[in-house]
Amino acid sequence: MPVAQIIFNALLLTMLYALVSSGLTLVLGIARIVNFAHGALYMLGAYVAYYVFQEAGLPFPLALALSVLSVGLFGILIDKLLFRRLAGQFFAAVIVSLGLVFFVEGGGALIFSEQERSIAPFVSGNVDIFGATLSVERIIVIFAGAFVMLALFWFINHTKQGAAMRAVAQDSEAATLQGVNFNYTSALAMGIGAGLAGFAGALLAPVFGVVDPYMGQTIMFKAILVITVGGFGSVPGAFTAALIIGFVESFGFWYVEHWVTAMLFGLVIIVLLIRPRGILGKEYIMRH
Amino acid sequence: MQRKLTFIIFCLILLVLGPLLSNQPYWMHVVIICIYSSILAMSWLLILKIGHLSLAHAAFMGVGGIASALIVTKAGISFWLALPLSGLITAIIALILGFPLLRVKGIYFLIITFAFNELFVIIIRNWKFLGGYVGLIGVPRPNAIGAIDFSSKVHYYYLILFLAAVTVITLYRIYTSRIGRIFTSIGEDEDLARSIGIDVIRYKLIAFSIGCFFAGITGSFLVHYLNFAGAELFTTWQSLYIQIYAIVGGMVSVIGGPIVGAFSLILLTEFLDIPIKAQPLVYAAILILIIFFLRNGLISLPQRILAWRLRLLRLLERNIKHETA
Repeated sequence: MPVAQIIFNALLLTMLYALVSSGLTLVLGIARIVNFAHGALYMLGAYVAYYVFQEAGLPFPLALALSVLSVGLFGILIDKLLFRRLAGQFFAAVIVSLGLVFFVEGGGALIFSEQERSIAPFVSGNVDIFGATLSVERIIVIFAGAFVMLALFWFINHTKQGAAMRAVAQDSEAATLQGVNFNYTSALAMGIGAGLAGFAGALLAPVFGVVDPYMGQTIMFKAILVITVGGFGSVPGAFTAALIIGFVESFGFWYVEHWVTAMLFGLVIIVLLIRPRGILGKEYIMRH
Repeated sequence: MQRKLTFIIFCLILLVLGPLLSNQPYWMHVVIICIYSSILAMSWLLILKIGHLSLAHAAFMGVGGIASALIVTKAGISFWLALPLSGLITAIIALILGFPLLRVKGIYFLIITFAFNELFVIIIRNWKFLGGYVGLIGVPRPNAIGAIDFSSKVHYYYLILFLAAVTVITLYRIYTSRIGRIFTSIGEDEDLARSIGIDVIRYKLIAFSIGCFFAGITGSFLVHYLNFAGAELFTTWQSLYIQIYAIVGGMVSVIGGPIVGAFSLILLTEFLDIPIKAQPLVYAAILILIIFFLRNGLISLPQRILAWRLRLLRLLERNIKHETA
């Protein structure tokens, strides 16, 4: 069993899940929205990267930047147009976010065609570490992911806007009393969350090699597992859970292949039964 | 009230005599889809009534469908026995899963049913016995009863109409009975219901099982109609469709709403010739518009128009008084 290979793969998955789930859990904790369309945002990021990098042949970092910007802006648009109007109506917001999945993925299928497109890796070459052959591309992706996560942590914990977000997540009313602009913070959270999803989509697209309009669905599934285990609204929780799930999946896949998904699901059920708030989450309060 | 009753009776007559007017297989097919989608939407709404938004309804349809396909092909049992049996199996699985799932708050339930549907599809696709990637093919037609051998769509039409009638009557009886009121009270305020002594988890399980039972028998019908049982019929995407029918139709009317929603959306696609590719987009747009502008769904449209007319009248009245004053 090529342990190094499996660990390496686990790290890749961890970064992917951490990036996507952090965005999701951020939006959940601050804007109080379960954005089911988050996976679709991931897909959009991947497609932007496809068109910029693969089709237009522009440098990959540019593709990344454009993905983050466009998907992030799209996220803010969704927030302003749809979710802000449904503030406090949790149920309606969920329905709308589910409708958004249909809209974005259906729209994607219409515009991009259901045919999957392939993307070439952005760097080529492999290295040998500890007896495992690792592609340079994946190593870069892991480091890029880690860097962005660190940047996120820094932002949330050491900037004023980050403090505003934490305040809103804790108690939005008290936060507004302190002068925090709820709508602005909410939109910012949505923009960052969407940007993270777009970034992940763009970053991982050349690694996985293919994009199709429905690629967001599997990611959404995993992201949901991650935030449930990690705790709703908690970014460190999302990272920890991403780590756990990434490793369980990587090692599990080696032994039981596709059944690892059933294992993960079982894990989540257990978490829900024993500690529904997740590892690092606070009791999630639903505003009726 | 009188107009509503007349309308319903008119629709019923149309439905029952429809095939005699035109037995074009294409339209038979479309209306069959409308009818079984209505059953799915109605049974889904029952689960929503107890306060849980289930995104796994298509998966439960799949449980019933695959169970039925296997029972008939592997055990050689007649469809007529397999149908209720698969419904029962689905209900039992719903009961087992519901036990841990219904204890958690709505948001968690939502998320976990979504995950369950995804999981279900993955399991089906990777287990040859349950169909594998291709699915179960060659699922036979329902066993013939006399001259009705299911070689024509008309036979399937009346079968699904019958099943729909059973569903409607059952749900109507449930909703107008004591148990129905318990369901509603649990849905409106779980804690309050518990505080007056209602065994919440027990009634949630009952409602959930009944809802999934109907999903299961619909699944059984579907696989024998299509002669096929594949994962693509039971995806999360399909669960979303079911939900859209129920909500666009109107959550306020537990039987009428889903039927109106399913029929309107599906017939809309047919009449406007909306390409399959654009369909999710159109449905999503309609859903979002409904949520923002017509929260209670299409079925509340006559009521809203009436209220709007009344307001207009009053406004005119006031203006006239102003003039004469």
